[in-house]
Amino acid sequence: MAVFALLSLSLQRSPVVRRLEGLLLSLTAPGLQVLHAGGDAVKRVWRGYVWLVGVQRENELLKKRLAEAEQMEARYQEALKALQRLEALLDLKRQLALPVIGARIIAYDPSLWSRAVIIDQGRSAGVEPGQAVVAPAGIVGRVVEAYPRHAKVMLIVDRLSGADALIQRTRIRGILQGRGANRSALEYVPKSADVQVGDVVISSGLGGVYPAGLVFGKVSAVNKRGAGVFQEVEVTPAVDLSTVEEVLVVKSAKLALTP
Amino acid sequence: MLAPLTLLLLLGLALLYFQNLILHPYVQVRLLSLLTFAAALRQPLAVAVGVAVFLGLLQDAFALTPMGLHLAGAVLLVAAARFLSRRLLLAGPGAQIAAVALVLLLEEVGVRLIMAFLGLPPLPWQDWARQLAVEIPATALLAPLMFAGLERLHACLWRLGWRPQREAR
Repeated sequence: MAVFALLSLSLQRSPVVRRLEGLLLSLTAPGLQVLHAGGDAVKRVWRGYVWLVGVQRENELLKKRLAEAEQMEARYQEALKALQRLEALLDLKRQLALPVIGARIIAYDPSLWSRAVIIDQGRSAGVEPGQAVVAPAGIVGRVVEAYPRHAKVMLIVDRLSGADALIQRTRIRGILQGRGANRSALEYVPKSADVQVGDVVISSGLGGVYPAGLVFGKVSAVNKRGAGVFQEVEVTPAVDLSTVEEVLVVKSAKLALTP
Repeated sequence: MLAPLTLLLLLGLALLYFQNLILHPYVQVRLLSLLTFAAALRQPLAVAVGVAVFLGLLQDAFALTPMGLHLAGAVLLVAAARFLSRRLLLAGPGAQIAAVALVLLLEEVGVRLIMAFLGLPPLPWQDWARQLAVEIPATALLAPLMFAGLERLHACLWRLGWRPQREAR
């Protein structure tokens, strides 16, 4: 009789029945949850350590081998990239046909107040202040300090860096002035001069530091609307000065300066 | 005094290496400035000055700026730390971050004034904007971590028997 009454109430979706149902669920579900989790753990233990112990070991071994293979692949890729960079440097060395010293950049300027790098070759290798430092893509900077086994290089984007340069297409000359961060500008170019975005800026060879014809960078912006007689020519360095790793120190400038 | 000084100098050196080998060029933060400031908050003045001198000169050695420019910045940080006192270490992370941001800004302004006084060409506004928007806030966010790390170092030294002269008396 009571069962029928309950069924009847249930069919009628009585709130009393729903509350009772909820109460029961609330009381029993947590225990079930714990048991379920425990059961899963037992199942995992069983599968992992008893039943599939061999498979799991094999899986671990394969994972280890995969990780090793990935490491080897990464090392191989790194070696390949280093080889490509060194090959490019070697090509540059042949192209320059000048006495050069290969060097590696070992440290960068710790602040934004100046732009310099430290290379791993110094006076003992023949590095002297005033020598040009180049990479396959173009000019990096010049040596400003030489120590016994290291040297400090001022990058072409440093605010104190200035070099005679010209636009390759039109042979218009100017002074390539560093602007900090990763920027430089070709200054003293008259507004009447033909300069276009994308023009290649190369060293003129004047000044005795940078060999003639090496690339400084490309014109990235031109502004003729400013005051004064000169236009503003922004030049983006050809070399990514933040990531360059290997460079060549050109000894010719020093030779030219000391006959 | 020698033990904390040596440890802090080694830590500074490690941070410089870390900055050069790992962070450069993608992350620009002033870890050495932060270390100098944090050390000056907790350590005796002699140690703070020692750290500032060493790290300032170390950065000067790697940079093209006139020797002493980074050192001047580091001394400014020590002065600011002494002014704020070590109570800052007890403050919440928010206050620490704000204080460090303010102090780094002060360092930047101080260094720029010195550069202007020396007749060096001014830094472009893009660099200034980058420092204000990225470098200084990012460094300031690391302040609670650095403070906690140095507190732990101090506790380790304490356990090993080191006492600052002032406290040992």
